Amino acid sequence: MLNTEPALITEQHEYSSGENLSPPLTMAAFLADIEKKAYHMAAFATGSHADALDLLQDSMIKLVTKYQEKPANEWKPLFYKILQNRIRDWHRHQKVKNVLFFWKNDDKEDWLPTQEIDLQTDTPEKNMTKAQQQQAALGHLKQLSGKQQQCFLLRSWEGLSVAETADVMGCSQGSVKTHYFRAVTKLRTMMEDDHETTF
Amino acid sequence: MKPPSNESITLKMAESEQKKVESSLNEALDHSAEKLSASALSDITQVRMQALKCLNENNSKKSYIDTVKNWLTMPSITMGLPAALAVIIAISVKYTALESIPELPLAMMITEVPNEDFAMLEDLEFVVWLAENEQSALL
Repeated sequence: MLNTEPALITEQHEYSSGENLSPPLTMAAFLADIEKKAYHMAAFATGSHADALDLLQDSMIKLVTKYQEKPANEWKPLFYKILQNRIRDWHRHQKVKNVLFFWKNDDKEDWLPTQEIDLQTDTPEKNMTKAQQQQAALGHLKQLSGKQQQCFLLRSWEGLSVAETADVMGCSQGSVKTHYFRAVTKLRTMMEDDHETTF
Repeated sequence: MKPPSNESITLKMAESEQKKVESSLNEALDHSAEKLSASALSDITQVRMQALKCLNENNSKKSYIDTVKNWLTMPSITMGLPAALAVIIAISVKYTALESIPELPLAMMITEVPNEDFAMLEDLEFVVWLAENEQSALL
């Protein structure tokens, strides 16, 4: 019998970290699962919606064309590694651009995480305060340095291990721990300053 | 029982503070991701679709290559192809060998040339030799 659907079969992988209980996941489902977080990471790094989309698209295309044959449990760290490389390239490109066209003030930061939170709804006062706190927290995250920001997002939000984060960021595990510790300390200080709350 | 040291208490407090910061930030980030604007969501979906289009193109290309590879590795092909190649090479070599030696025209074949022609040629050669001798004597 002829194999009629090789494309569909090859993209089926088990998406688990060594556990057989997880259902098989396709590349499409994987991309749908991570797209929002990846977009946020790119947007935090670039501050631009269009640039974030470009980086996201490049990373997704690279993953599906080069690494779709890899086991599904490797997709996530691979994808974030590609994305981090793209972000690094973007920063280098921006640096060169700023040196070459120093007279141009090409500050096109059009993305702010605060825009996404709708404060205009008629929510109760408690919800409003919470939304404002969240808005402030995201603002603090934006104030961190690039490495601290990405380290926090990968470790805390995306839940990657120290080793995986180190591999993704292309640095040692010690550096990841340092970046993470500094990020959390800075965030805590800023949040304490804001709300005068002792966590 | 030994009471916990000041260091361990400080460490535990730092850990709990860290967890609170993390959970607070994660909640804010999750909320931000959920509340993405419709236009941003549509842009992200388009990006994903573009990537999946590349995936399908890649897969179809790969399946075509696999088909060709499978066809080439079939036993009948692996045995038959070298044999066919050998036959083709043998035939082409034979033809070129035949072509390299042109056939003699029939008129030049000795059997076909009449004997009188040879006698006449010998006479002609003798007459030419005589004429040359006379000419050299005169000079």
